[in-house]
Formats: sequence, C-alpha cells, structure tokens
Amino acid sequence: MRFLISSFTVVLLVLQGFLYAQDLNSSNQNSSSPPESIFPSDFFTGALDLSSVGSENDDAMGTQRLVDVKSSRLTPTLGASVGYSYTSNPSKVESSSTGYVQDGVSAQMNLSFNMGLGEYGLGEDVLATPTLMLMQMRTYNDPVKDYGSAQKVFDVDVQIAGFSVPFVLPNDFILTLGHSYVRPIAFRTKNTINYSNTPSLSFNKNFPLSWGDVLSFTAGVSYSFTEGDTLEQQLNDPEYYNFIKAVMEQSGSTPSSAYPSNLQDALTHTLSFAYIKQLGQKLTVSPSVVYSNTSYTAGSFLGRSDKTYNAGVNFSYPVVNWFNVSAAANYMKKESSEPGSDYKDFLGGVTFGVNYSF
Amino acid sequence: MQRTLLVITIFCFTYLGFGTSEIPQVDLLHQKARSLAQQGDYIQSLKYLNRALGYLTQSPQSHPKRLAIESEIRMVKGKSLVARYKERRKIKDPNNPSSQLSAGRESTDLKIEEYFGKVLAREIWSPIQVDDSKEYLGFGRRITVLPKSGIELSVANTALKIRAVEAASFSIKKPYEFDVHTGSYCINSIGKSDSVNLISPLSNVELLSSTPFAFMCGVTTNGGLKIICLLGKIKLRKNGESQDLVPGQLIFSLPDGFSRKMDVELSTLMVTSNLLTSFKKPPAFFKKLRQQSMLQALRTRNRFRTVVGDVKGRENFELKVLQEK
Repeated sequence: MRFLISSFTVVLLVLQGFLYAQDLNSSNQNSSSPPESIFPSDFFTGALDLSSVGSENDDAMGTQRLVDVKSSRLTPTLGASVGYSYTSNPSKVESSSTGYVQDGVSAQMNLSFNMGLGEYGLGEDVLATPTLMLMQMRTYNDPVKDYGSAQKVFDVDVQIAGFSVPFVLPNDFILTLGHSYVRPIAFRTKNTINYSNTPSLSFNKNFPLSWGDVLSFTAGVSYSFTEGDTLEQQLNDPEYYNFIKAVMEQSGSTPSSAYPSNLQDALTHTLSFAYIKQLGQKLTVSPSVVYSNTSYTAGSFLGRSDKTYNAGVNFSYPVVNWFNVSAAANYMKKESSEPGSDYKDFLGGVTFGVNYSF
Repeated sequence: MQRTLLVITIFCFTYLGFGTSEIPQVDLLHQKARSLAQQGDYIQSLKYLNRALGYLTQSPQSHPKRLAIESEIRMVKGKSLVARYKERRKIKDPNNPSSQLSAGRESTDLKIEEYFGKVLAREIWSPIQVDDSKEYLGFGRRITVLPKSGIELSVANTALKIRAVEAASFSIKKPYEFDVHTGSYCINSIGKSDSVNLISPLSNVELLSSTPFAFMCGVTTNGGLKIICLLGKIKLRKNGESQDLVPGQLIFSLPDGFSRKMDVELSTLMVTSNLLTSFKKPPAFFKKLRQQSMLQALRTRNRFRTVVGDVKGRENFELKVLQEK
C-alpha cells in the first residue's frame, strides 16, 4: 500500500515534470502510465469474496483475517530504477527542422526517496495521506553513440522535491494538492538550466468495473513558476556582460527583456483516462490517453499554447515484492501555436525497479 | 528390574509432578464451587467448576479429580434446572406477589431500536417475545436472541448501544454492566466517552475509553471473551492487568489474563459481520468505521491467509488457514 501511495505521488510529479520539461529533451517513458489509486480497486471486493469463509465460520463477528499493520506513522521508502528506451524523435523537434534526428535511444537512472507522513482522518468521510518525495533522475542520450558525441549535450539530471497531500473523499474521489520543485541540470557542463516551483491540484476517480477491471479518470491543473539563468549568469564574465549590455541598451533593449529568465512560466491543464486490467496474478496492463494544454504566461513565450496528446500502454510485473519490471510504449503528438514547434514522437522502453520500505 | 524402576520413577514424576502442579488451584475452585452450590448459586458454582475443569484438560480422562468435577458439574446442572423450574412455578403462582410484575409495567431502561426474528425476554417481568408493540425492556431482563434473529438496544441515560445476533443470551442489570452468557455483541458509545463492565462466564473485563468507542465481543467456547476494537482507543482492565486496543485489534480475555493482541482486517469485518450487516440500519458509527478501515489499509504491510477462530482450552486460540479459491 505504501508502494501504491509512493507510486501515485511519483507518477503525478513525474507527469508534471515531464510536461514542464518536455522542451528540455528530458524524455520520460512512464509519463503516460495511468495514475494509480490510493486504494486497490478490490479494496472492498476482496473482502466480499471472503464472506463465504465467514458463513463457514458461523461467527457473527465476521471473518477475522490477520494483517500486519505498521506501528509508526512515518513510512520511508527508497526506490531505484534503470530504464532503456527507444525514441523516434530524440531532439523533440519538427521533422522538417534542421535539428531533427531520426531514431535514438536513451538510458535513464532514477533514485527516489519517499516519506509517508502518516494517515489522518478528517471528519467522518475524509482521509489525508501527506507524502514527501525526493528524486534524482539522470538521462544519457544515445549511449550506443550512433551519432557520436552529438547527443551528449542533451544529457540531463532532473532533481525533484515534492510534497503532496491526497485527500480521499466520499465515493472514492481523490483530491490531491501538491507542490514540486524541479531543477534540470546539464550535468556535463554543470549548468542548472532553470528552477521551477509548481503547485498543483488534481482530481481522480476510479470506476471499478463489474468484471474486475478499473477505469481511472484524472483531471489536473498546475502552474509553473520558473527561474532560469539570466544573461549575466550565462556569460559568467562581468566585462563581456557589461559590453553586451551597453550594446543592447544602445539599440533600445535590455538583457532582461531580450533574455527573460522566466521563459517557462505556464499554466497546464491535464486530462487522463486509463484502463487498468489485471492479467493473471501479477501482470497489470494499462492503456491510457493523456491530453494536456500548456499556456505560457511570461517571457518571449507569452501567448504561446502547446497541446500535447499522448496515447500509450504500460505493462507492469512485480517479480517479487521489492523488484518490478515494466515496459511502456507511448505515442505523443505536440501541437503548438508557435510555428515550427510541433512534433511527434514514439517512445518505448523497459524499466527495472527496486524499492525498499523501512 | 532397573528399567522397570526407571519407568515407574518417570511415571511418578510425570503424573505427580505435572499432574498435581495445578491441583491446589483446582481444589480451591472445587471447594468454592461446592460452597456456592450449597448457597443455591448454581450459575456461579458452574463457572468455578468449569474453571477447575479447564486446569485438567491436559490430564487423562480417568484422572480421579477430573471425574469428580465432571460428576459435580452434572449434579449442579441438575440442581440448577430443578431450581429454575421451581422458580417458574412460583412466579406463575397467582398467590405469589412477584407474579404481579407484568410486562405492561416494565421499566423503560432499554429502548428497542431495532429487532428482527425471534427475541425473548425473561426474568423480573413476565416472559415475552419482542414484537412491534414493545418499545422498552427493563434492567435485569435476560434477553435471548434465537438463530437468524437480532436486537439493538440503547441504554437509558447513556450513549451506549448494544447489538446482539444469532443465539445470544445476555442481561443488562445496570447502565454500564453487560452480563453476556453466549453469543456475539457489538457495543458502542458514540456520543460521549464511557466505561463498560463486560462479564462472561469465565471473564470479567472493564473497558474504558476517553473518546467515543465501538467494539465487538463474543463469548468463546471456554467461557472467555474475544474482543475486537472498531473505534476509539479502548483500555481493557482485568485482575490488575491492562491492555490498550486501537481499531482493528483483537484480543482474547482468558481465565488467566489476556492473550497477545492481533490485527484483523476491518474491511473484511465490515462486510462479513452479521452484527454490522444484518440490521436494516447500519450502526451509527459505520462511516467512521469505513474511514478506520481505509486508514488500516494504508498502514497494512501484509495480509495473511489466516483467520482467527475460537478458544476452547485455557490458553490457545485457533487460527484457520484460508483455502485458495
């Protein structure tokens, strides 16, 4: 269960990070994987299955099934994963663009730490389960060097710190308030590309179907406040910067207006549907579709709107309690109001993950 | 010869050493039971005899003390039946003043919130079967719930409610004292905190809570109690020993003390317990219970394919393994 909460939070934050950082070439193959519920779909169904045992027992107090319940409110979990994926558009640009590269592979390594901060009942109907999350993601582009060292420039670390509070409402509606701090870093040049703070609100409802599958619906909204390097920080040479500044001011502009540091301030709306099907005892298959619309609200991107359509399927197989294998395939199409910024991408890959709960 | 001596020595040690280690307690209980029987308190006498017999469950069937106690139990049961028969005849006698206590003048200590099936009320007032015309029962009534039946009562001037289903027999003599003889019960106090005395044939437990609470309890085959906390933090006290229970925890109150605590799945209880599902109206705390079951699910590390059963001896309780479907 802790793993489910952790996964839910991670998926939510990774989704936000992905939408935000898509222009930064930080691909994430799990972005379209469906949001997992706080409770498994058979939470009460499984209990109903046991009612026959109760009648056999003939105990009016019901079936008393033993469970192992943790005693501490804090539940730390460490996770690590390694992924390898194929992308049809590694540069995430239009196919007619000069920077377009056909086909590529990338390797991802993730480390995460989740801390469940307890479970709290609010009134008679609401539950709150706050969670803290720290994550470090590293992406190596073209590790097989099909393009020599050209793709190295896109190698990136993404560091995420997140806090989220899912509220379980009556009728199994889940409202999640969250905040994440994301910092992509071009680690080869030790350059922090930008910083972003993203408060978010999402609303999830799972519909268990009579044949055991689950249809999951999520709607979310988030706003990213970003801060990138200023021209002065990029140049890192006061004399050269002063010279450029003087030149620009003579031509009627300023470094802050020509090179705004908050280029990616944006409001993002997301809608997703996922169908979760259990095949056998362990394998879970979840096809999903995600739509998101990002409206930029500052800098030279002001007025730009990017619509992203994502369709994919995710296979997940927990080999043992602490070791999970997953495979995903996604097709993404981005339409932008900015000419030349549209692109399409097919992404598929496999991920091996381990986790340990204390 | 040496071997024979060795066998005899081992037998003597085994028989006298292990077999007689509990004899002093058994003798004490036996004597107490006899004196109670002489005073006409057959119910209490039977309790002591059952406890004494409990100490001898490991001894051979032919153990003289065991035979003596079993014989005494049969005699006391017989005397008890005769006494009860005489009592009934006395009550039915029109010249007896106690027969004047007709059910029509019964006090309003226990309000009948809901019932189904066949529920009988006896003692103090004339025996009745609960029906729609009956709104209240008085303190001291011995209430018998027959199979496929149930009753929910609220206790006057308290926030206490009790539910009983399926072959249960109990009486409430005072506002906070529940004398449960057989069957299963759900007791709750939602409005305010309370404390409750729970008396079973072989166990007497005090339950205290500073917050609203709910719990289920059942009389085990050995006369002890199985208690499951559903809501609130409950402190159990008995013979100077105390245990704290939180929602989802189960404990047995045995003749010699408490068992260890176990966690049982609340979501399963919610859909399988007749105490919670057999009545038309869900219990007042059902929403809170649902919330607690979700909290428990979030805190659950592992679910076992094992269910808790009954206690038939003095100490060991049964665990049953769920079959794969």
